[in-house]
Amino acid sequence: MDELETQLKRLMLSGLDGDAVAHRRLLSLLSERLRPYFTHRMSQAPSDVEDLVQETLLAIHLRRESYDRTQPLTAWVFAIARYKLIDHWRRRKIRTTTPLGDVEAFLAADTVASDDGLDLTRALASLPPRQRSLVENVKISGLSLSEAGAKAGVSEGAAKVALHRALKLLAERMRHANA
Amino acid sequence: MQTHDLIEALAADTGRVHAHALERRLALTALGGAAVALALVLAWLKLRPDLGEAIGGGFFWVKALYTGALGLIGVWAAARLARPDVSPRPALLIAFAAVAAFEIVALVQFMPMDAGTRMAALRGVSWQVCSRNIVILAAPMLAMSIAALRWMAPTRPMAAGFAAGAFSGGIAATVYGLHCPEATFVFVGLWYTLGVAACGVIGAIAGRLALRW
Repeated sequence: MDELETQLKRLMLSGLDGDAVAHRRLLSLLSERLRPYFTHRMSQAPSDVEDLVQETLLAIHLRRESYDRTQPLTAWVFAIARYKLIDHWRRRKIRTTTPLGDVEAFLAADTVASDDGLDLTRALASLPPRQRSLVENVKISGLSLSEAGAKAGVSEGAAKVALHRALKLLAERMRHANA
Repeated sequence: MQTHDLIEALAADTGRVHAHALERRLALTALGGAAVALALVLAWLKLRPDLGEAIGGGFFWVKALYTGALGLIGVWAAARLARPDVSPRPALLIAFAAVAAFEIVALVQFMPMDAGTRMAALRGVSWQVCSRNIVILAAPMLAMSIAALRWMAPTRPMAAGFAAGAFSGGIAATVYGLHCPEATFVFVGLWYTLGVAACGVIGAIAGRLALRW
């Protein structure tokens, strides 16, 4: 467990320094922990699990500034995941006595298969066309930002700013998707 | 959309984050907010005519120290609440101690007064506008603070909003001291404290509306 913390934290610190490969690896490892965590607490609505995983990944990414580098990474991630879960319960008016678990349980997670996130698909469809094509181009074909920007007819710098805005908007829209 | 596609898009957005990004953002907010409040004082309220003399006196600095302390405690609490699951308790305790200490001195000043002097001390020359002016001076900074917190992960949006309000109110009240001629513990303990508290309440409402994520 300490080993996992060490590994994840190292990836996070590299990501904060701008290493996109480390950041991608971190998010992907975290998604494998988030999925079973939410699955065990969302038995009333298993179809929402992937939505929650994606919402949490977006929040982790967009709110990286709130991570204190002197603290354990897993505690920070767990706090965000728990907040997202409670927010989800509240928005969907789910009353439950399901325990929120603790960070140990969160880390000791097994694997569950992923599926499509409907909310994200819907939120993405609701974005302005240029922002949507930017998000789609960097994700599906793995185009670089400059290539994706060129396709959308903007410079790399502008594409960078636009992608960040698009992701913020995506997080907003997702949260209100089924509110 | 598949999660791994989302992760690709997020990875494409990997930017560098400064080691003290949160502190930096809040410091910039304080600078920006104080500058706007100062501009408002200069253009709208005007500096107090006896500012030169007042700066030489003790109470001008006592007042600035009190409101400045409220602002600093506010930003400390906001910085804690901006991180998920960090308790604001130490900041709350210090805030309580600072206000209590000031109010005790105000009471000591107030108690020996006779009825007429008491009213005069409570009203000063600006009791009708003091708290309101502080709220107006703090409003732009409060908006900046809430915007700054939207980059963070406050798991208690109302508490974080209140802290942002106290932060803004404390800084604005300090700047307001350049205009306001009031020079008693009684007046400052009442109207300045109320002004900063009102900023906190407005901040809490703003937090509830704008800091959920």
